[in-house]
Amino acid sequence: MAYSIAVMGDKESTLSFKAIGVKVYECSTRAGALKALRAAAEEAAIIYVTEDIFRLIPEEIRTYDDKPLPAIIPFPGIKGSTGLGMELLNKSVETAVGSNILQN
Amino acid sequence: MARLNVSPTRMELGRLKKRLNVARNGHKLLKDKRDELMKQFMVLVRKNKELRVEAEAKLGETQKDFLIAGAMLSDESLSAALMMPSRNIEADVSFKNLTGVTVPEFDYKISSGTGDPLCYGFNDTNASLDKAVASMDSMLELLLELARIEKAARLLSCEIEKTRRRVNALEYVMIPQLEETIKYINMKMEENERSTKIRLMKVKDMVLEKK
Repeated sequence: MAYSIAVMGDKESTLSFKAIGVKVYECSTRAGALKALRAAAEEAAIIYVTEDIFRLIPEEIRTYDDKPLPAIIPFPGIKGSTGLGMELLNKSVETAVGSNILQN
Repeated sequence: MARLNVSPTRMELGRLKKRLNVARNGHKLLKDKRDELMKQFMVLVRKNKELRVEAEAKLGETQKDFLIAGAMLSDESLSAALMMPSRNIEADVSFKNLTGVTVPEFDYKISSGTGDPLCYGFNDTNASLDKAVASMDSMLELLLELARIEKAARLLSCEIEKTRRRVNALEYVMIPQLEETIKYINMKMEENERSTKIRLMKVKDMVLEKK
């Protein structure tokens, strides 16, 4: 089955994704992000989300954690990386192992 | 550890012994599963870290390229240039079984339009935009790989947590409880046996005295 690939975020950050044919869900507020997430989750297999938007709706995104689809991947927006991606990675190590063994 | 609330009968004892056996077997299997999952997870997570660092660096570069390209264009002409992408990307999803966890694998497919990502005329655009789009295009594989690895790592970590809870519940709650209850029933039955014996001895004494 064919799914789409989606990207969520502000206009500037998603522009580069739009150029290569990824479906864009533009949003900047919490309400907008929730709506976009719901719409995107229905048809997309991968949703790239800017770190800013990710921080607005972390709980909602977490509900997709244990489902095989969609994969929700944060990426640094136009403002640069805030380290959210690594933070999440460390958190998943912590859930799995019980303590963070990647730090050193 | 609290023992289970059961009547101390031989029937119950047999039942509990069977349950204890099942619990021990399950515990061993789950422990093996946890160890294997952990092994897979560590490999994935290391790769995930590398990929993320690489992807974030490259994406930052590309975003910068876009910013520079956009700075030389007016807002309108930039959005007009990218308004109608020349193609549409779809994800081809297949599922793989990784030690009992279903993880998705992604491949992309260009569903409509040409393979060429450049979707605008030369008029009103500049060469740095071309460069930015091309570099974004080359990132696609990396981004998909990142999505695959990161999703797999997250799914595995959820599964590991669940398995770990089960292992611990068996090891520290179920098994001690069952052991304690079995011991209790054994003791109770021995006690019954002794009291029966004593009673018989007493009765025998009484019978002998009467004669």
